[in-house]
Amino acid sequence: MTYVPRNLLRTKPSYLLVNPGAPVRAAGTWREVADGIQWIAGKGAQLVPSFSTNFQVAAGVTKTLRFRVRPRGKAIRRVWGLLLQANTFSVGTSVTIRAPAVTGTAVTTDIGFRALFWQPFQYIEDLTAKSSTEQEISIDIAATGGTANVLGIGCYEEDRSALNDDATDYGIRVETVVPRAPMIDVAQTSLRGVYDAFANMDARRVGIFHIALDTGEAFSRLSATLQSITDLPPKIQVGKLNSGATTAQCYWSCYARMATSGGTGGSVKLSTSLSGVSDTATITGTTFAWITSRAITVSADNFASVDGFRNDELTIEIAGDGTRVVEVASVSIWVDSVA
Amino acid sequence: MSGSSELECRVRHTASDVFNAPYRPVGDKATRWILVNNTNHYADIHGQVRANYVSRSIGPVKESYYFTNSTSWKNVLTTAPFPIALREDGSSYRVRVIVGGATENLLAAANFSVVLSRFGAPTDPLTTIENAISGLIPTDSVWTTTSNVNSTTPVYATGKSQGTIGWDRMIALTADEAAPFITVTGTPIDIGGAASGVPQCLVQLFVFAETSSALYSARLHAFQATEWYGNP
Repeated sequence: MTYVPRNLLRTKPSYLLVNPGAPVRAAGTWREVADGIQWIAGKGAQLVPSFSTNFQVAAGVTKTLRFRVRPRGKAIRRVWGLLLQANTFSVGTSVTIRAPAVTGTAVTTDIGFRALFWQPFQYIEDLTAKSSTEQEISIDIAATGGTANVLGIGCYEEDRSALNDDATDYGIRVETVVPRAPMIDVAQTSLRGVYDAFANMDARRVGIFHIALDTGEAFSRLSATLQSITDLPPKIQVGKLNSGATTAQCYWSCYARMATSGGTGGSVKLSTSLSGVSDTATITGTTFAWITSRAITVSADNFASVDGFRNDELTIEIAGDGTRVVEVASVSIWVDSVA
Repeated sequence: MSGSSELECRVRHTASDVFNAPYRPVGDKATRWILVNNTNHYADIHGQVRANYVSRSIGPVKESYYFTNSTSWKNVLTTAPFPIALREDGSSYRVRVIVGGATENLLAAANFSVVLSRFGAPTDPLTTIENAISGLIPTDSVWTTTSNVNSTTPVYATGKSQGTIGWDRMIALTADEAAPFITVTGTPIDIGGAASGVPQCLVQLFVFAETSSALYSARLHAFQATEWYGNP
């Protein structure tokens, strides 16, 4: 196996160097493109943007958070970032993390003296296989000795130090994309390597919004009238794809159930201000489960603006059926494809 | 215009038409629009949402906003370190910051600021904010509200970065500012592979708040941070 190192800086190949009748240069174009593709392919995605949890874990209790994502297929490690705080000064208060929940390697950190401050904590989850299929990722948080406050959680894929020159990573043997090198039709080599890698890279802004709680303290509502689960509607925006487009597609799902059976079921509704989305899922099962992912179209990046911003706001509402309680433990929104 | 690609969009392509075909000439259209334009555009839209905090309106009893009663800048939220994307000139991707907050009582006004830095930075985050706001060392790595948040209902705040550019809702590190945060992180070279090192620019986002009266808290209800290539 040969590994192709990737660069820290992205490249910016210039289109001005490519003109009809003029030679396409190896140094100015092919190598720049190859390095740019590998920079994208090897850069990890933020699967779960850091979000506010602010729940407590009492000593002896384990809480589990679940997220729905579709990872990019080249990651080999996930990095979970947590903000932890002891609820009171207590020598011996510690937190044990596992990701994935139950089966992950347990790592314990002492937070006993940090009642007034919080402690950023990173947990490393080494993967056993590369995957780009939609899946649940999860984390267990357990406390011992005292109550722990969990203030925030996020998860990103670690950047790759190098890519394999195989048909999974599509690393490009950049030594074959240099001036006077022959153009040959060999995998991961020369121009074929560049085109193959381009066709098989994944440039998604993966995680857009997540909010999650343990099933034991899930968002719950009896009333059949919808209620927002957040104080402010979070801004929502995804990458722009097509010429002239102001919107693009992403997916969402929720981990939910009805507390008791029967009736017409509860509701989870997503709506947006600027892009005008309104999508309601009906929850009927009495066992917590992810609903089948649903596509919604929201605002896309605005390249005419210096900061790319569009002011699209997302409202997430839940409702029971009036006699039965709906319980929603997680809501996840992610970009599934930029192909 | 804030992208790096020629067309600022993706050009559709069909792999079988233009790829992997021996003895075909390399066309300028395929190269310029599909490879060069799309590589730049994909690198632009690759910027990740690094933080998306918003307080809950229902749920567990513990309040889900971050607050302080301090009348001077107090750190109310810090993200875990993340590897920010670096541009071709060594500066960081810009980070679009959205801040939402409130004051506990209308008798007090709240203000918020954000800095892109890291624990152990040559200048600690609080000093960076104070230096930037006082004008001592202008830097666009600091954003601060330009008008008080004077509402007990959470609202989105307006502000500006404190450097020579003065973005409305972005912060970034220059190449010089990013350099101290570049470090080599140990990681396997592949699944179960040998140890290797990956160079990264590891940063954190620090959100500070202050209230005009110690009797009433300043409350941070929302914070979103998204990488954006940006131009400049």
